[in-house]
Amino acid sequence: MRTKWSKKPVSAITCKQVTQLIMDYINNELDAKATKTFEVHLKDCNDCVAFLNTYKKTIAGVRSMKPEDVPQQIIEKVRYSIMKKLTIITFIAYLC
Amino acid sequence: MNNLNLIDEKGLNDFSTLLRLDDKRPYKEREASLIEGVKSGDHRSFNEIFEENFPRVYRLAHKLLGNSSEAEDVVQEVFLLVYRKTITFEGKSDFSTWLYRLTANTALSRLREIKKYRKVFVDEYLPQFNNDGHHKVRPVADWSLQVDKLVSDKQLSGLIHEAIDHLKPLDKAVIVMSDLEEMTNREIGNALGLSLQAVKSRLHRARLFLRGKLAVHLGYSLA
Repeated sequence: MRTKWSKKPVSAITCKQVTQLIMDYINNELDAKATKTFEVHLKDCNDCVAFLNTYKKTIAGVRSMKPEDVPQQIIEKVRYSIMKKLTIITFIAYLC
Repeated sequence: MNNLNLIDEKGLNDFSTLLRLDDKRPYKEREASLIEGVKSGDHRSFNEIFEENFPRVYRLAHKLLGNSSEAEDVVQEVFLLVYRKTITFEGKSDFSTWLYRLTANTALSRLREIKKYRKVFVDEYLPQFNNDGHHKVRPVADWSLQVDKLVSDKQLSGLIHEAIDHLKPLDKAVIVMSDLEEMTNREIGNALGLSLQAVKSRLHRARLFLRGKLAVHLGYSLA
């Protein structure tokens, strides 16, 4: 029986290296050669495609958490407290 | 915090109205002159800086410390520092970067004092690899679509906050500033006194940790 040799290119990087480069890849901070190497690996590695999807989704999930509005009452409370202290500081500086 | 029983909500609103300047230009256009105003002791200029920056400063402090009371104390401390230190602010860095640095340093000092973070072995939630560089557990599951359900069920926020609380203070600060406050890596580095590479490294590790926590919550392996 003849063995069919795979014509698939041998990936130049490992899954572990892909994980290390993933943030730069998402941010488009890899150079052209590194990007191509990364994408060649993805073509043949469903594990890393799954990992990339879950990594991106984690970031998107965190970023979807909308910043909470700060209650106006808290702003006014802290402002009043600070201004009171500043008035005292200014008054003492004036006396000295 | 102070006993404010003698002043009602209307009183506080009237008080803040008195402090407002009439200048209607956007804040960024007025910032330089407001800083000069603070240097000469003008409380109304200080109030404008306070009003513009309070929400972001409070949110950062709140996310780092996890409760309103601590956050209020830190914010108060920060703005009093702003008042005192503006005299020496030379404008070499961006004012908001400088403000963030004060906030982060004050909150982190408080966090270290109260040992608010629970020590968790972060490494346990990071992806694992064999000697040949392949993922240890294969196939790696793609659970990305299930995160949408966590969002729609309003579970994600609690999970993320709980997970972030497990990080060490500096790692927590980096991910909060990056993914919750949308600061650039450079801004984060300037605020926390970290190199760009250090920011990226901590951010990546924190994200891998959060990913691991989500995987475990959804019933999958960490790989």
